[in-house]
Amino acid sequence: MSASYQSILWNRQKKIYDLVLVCFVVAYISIFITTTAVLDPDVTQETLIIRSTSTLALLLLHVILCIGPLARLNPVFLPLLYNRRHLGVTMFFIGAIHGTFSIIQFHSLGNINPILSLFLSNTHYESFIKFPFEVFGFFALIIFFLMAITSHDFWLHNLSPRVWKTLHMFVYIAYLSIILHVMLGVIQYETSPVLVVLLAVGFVAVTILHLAAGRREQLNDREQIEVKNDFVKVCNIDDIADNRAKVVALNGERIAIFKYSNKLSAISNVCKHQNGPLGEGRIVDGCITCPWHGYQYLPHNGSSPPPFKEKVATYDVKLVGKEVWLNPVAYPDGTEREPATIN
Amino acid sequence: MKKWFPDRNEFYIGYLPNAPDGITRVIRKVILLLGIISICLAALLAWHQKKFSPANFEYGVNTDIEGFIFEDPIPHVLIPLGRDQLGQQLYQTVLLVGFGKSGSQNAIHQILKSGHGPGSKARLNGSLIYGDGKALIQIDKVSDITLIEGQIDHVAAVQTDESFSITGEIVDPKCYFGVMKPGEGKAHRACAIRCIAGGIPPVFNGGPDGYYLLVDESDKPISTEVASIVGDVITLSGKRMHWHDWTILQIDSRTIDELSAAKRWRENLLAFEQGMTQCN
Repeated sequence: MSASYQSILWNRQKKIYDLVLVCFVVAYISIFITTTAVLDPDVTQETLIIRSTSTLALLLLHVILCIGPLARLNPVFLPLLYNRRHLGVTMFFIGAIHGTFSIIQFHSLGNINPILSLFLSNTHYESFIKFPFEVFGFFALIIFFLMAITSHDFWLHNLSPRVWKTLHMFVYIAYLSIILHVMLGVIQYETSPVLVVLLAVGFVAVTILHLAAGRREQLNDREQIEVKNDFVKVCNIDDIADNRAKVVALNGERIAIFKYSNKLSAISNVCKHQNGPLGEGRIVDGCITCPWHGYQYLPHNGSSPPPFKEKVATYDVKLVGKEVWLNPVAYPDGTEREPATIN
Repeated sequence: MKKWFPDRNEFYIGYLPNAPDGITRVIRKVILLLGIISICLAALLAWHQKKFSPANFEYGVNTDIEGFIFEDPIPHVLIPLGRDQLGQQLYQTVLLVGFGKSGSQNAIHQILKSGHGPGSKARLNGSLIYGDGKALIQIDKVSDITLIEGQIDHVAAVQTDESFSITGEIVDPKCYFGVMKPGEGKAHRACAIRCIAGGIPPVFNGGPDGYYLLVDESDKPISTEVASIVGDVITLSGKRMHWHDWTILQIDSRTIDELSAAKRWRENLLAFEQGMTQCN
């Protein structure tokens, strides 16, 4: 969390994250290249670069796609989510090395522009099996490029969280493009079933994790409460742990009711940073703290403490005996509301 | 699940110097597991690649060769190897290709025009490409060819079969015989198309003789006509001819047109029929 923009706001956790990532990348590429060169000395250096980077980028893409649902299913995975954008940018750079070397190797030094060659050499667009697989890889790389250059918070704020999130949801289109790129390319050339099996395992893992995380959200939202009059009863005071929240879905909006210092306050469940689930966060130093990247909001007005400027919607909450009642009509972002006092 | 939640009260905040102990312990195990899986995957994927061709491209290494240069049916140089038991001169054929994805027709035409025509003896300086008994040399520029004293006559190909059919795939010889690994199949199709479009003569890979140069009924090389069927498994028919250490398949160029068109038509029809069957 920062009040001004810096290229990277380094902290100890990020340094550890990136160090582990670099070690992982170096280890993977070294092992792939060494194993290939030892088992088959006839391989060329270009092929080693193209294949080691392609398989590594594919592996990283699967890890990236699994982190989101894993963190939703179990908060213990949140440290992996915290610096995921560095993982994404690394994956893009590795994919870009693969793409650049492939274009140089297979499409340059010909009688037309290498990028045009990518689209105009194999023109079997009418056939699924013979389809030019390079096109899928190219478009996926364009999406990863757009995601990488907009990964900084500067773009998140300037594009607005909604646009930014929508753009970054294109990762799923890119993922499907990559699956087609591999299936219609190298898999048609290789005779071993290993790559097909691994790709299938990866696809199934990504799909199952997303379905499981989605199912959990769906079950939470099923607790939807019928809205009558102004206030609705949402839970009992004992249902909320100290310094934590209960999330309720009312009229399609998720609202987090926090219990802290013998008080109750309700704010939107959606963090202004990356739409993180504030209701799964905690009260730390008197502030609601997002579990994804630690963005903070004051419970009584939904505003980030100065000098930060993020604000979320607030709601009226009251206590009737031990029953927690909530008015689902949102106040504008950052509106101060009197917390309900617990006697 | 308890193992994954050592303490439910632990809460991770990335910008704090240290993560909670319980979460740190679990994440360490996760990263270790991920590292082991990744290392195994790297080795497994490397191990299960298709074997690479032992063909060679002496990139960056220039070699001088001397021989007799011709531009028909495709640019090549004949290097004398000595005589056989019947006293006939034997030659090694080295196909001539240009830099990158280009042929050498223009360079050879220019040189032969300035000398004594086909069969002129020359010294060539270029990078050798060789594999599976075939050889090529990459000539980067016209000045890499120097005409020297000597000349031989063109040796005509000897027809051995009037009607001959083979099944296989069209490749570009420059990549196939050493520049690219792999130099065939779907992954290489676009590159092969660019090479052939750039003037590198296509070679048919298949049949009893292994490799065939393709010429039309006028003995002219077939090139861009085959672009749409490069890398496909196809059957070609024509006259088989032996020519030095190569075999030539002389085909009617209309056959290629028909083959391309008919192949696409058959595929489209098959796809349509399959679609109709599924609808029913």
